[in-house]
Amino acid sequence: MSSKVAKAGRYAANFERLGYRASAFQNMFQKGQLPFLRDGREPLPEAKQNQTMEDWKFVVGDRVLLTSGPNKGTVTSILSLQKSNNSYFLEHGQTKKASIPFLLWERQQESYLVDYPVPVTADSFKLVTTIKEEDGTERDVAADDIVYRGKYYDSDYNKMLPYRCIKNHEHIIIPWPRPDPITDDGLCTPQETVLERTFFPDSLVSCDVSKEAYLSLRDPLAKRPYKWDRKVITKSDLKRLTPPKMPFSETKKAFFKERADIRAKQIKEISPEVEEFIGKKVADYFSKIQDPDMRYYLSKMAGDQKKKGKKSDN
Amino acid sequence: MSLTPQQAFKKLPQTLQNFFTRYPPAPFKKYATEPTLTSAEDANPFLYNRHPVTQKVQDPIYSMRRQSDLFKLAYKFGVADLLPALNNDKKFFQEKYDTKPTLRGVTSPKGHKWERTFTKRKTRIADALDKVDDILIEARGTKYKKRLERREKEKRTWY
Repeated sequence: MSSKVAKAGRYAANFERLGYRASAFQNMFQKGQLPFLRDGREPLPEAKQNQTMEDWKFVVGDRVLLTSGPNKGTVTSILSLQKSNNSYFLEHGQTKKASIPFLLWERQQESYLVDYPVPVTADSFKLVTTIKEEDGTERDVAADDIVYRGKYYDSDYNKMLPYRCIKNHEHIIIPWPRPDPITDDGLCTPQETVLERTFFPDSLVSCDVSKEAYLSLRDPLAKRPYKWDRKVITKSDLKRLTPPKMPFSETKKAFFKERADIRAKQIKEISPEVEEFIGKKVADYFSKIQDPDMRYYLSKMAGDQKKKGKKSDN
Repeated sequence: MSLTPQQAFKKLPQTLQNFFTRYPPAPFKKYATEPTLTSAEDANPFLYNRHPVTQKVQDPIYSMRRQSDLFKLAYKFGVADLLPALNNDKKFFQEKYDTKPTLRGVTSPKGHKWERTFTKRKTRIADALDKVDDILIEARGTKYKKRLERREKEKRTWY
């Protein structure tokens, strides 16, 4: 229960953070529950809850023999797991009468009173398996306890699982029950064609995918984007983000015209007469310089010299 | 080796070449020595000019720093006199020091207060010492006057 609350996110209370006050809040929570759901047991802390199939030992679909309670001696199977208390709901296990409010009735329900299964812990049943005798007959045996020996790949569960063996009779392996087969959705890629390659790019540079489709392609390494990090600007967004265009005032227009006039008036190319006039003066000045240091300095500062230097640098 | 005018012009730094392209020197174009209107034909790019419509003073096209950079560069290449008149008739290098006006403080330094009031105080003391006998006579009466006269009469001399 607490794990559910913790996982519910920032809008739910995380009881584990409350410390010594947690029990008060738990009581409040229990009072808010329907009476038949109040089992009086506090949920286990998250670290102690079973996570993997190895932790659980018995999973949904396992046949078990009840060893305690009013139905003691019956062979039944596990219906579901209660994660908060590491307990199991059994098919023919103990039940209690529960009154269900009309709002919560199931479809075929006809009475307020229903039999609600009581969750049981692993010590109230034993795992049952069928073994073949040498003469070909089959019989059921209940395992006192089980141990794990070795590992194998289970294609149905799509993971590595340990072999479940009966303790002290380790040659008897109790197979894990088969999970319910997964039925494919209509939009699923069929298993046979999932590895088939259907797209061959013509070029590494250009992409066949149209530009409009880029945003719909998901980056396989990207995390799921936050819903407000939309990369698409909708029509209404655009309308809101675009400021209205103000018409230019007469003053502004006059300013633009003046600036254009100034630009048009600007002399961009030097006339040969001016060039000759200045050049003569410079040549005259150069010829009069006697100081070798000054000559060297001016040669280094010269416009053509600098350009050459820049080119060589590049 | 003598340079042709075209080669010599290319020897100028790029900034100067650009400037002379945009603002041809004196015989080709004249520039105002006083601030005018920004739209004037002879508007000086180194001076603060006034806009004809808004009547607001605009900064010079070349700031004081750029003016001075240009001048110093032009001076080294012997073309400083081709630039338009600088703002506030600014001078550089030795000319700046030669044309510097002599300050009033150099020719007639102000001095300390005791120096300025020295002669005035001395004359005041001398005047007061001259009058001291009259003041004492006034305060102490004719008896004192007679004593002073007797002392004067009985004064020993070397002769």
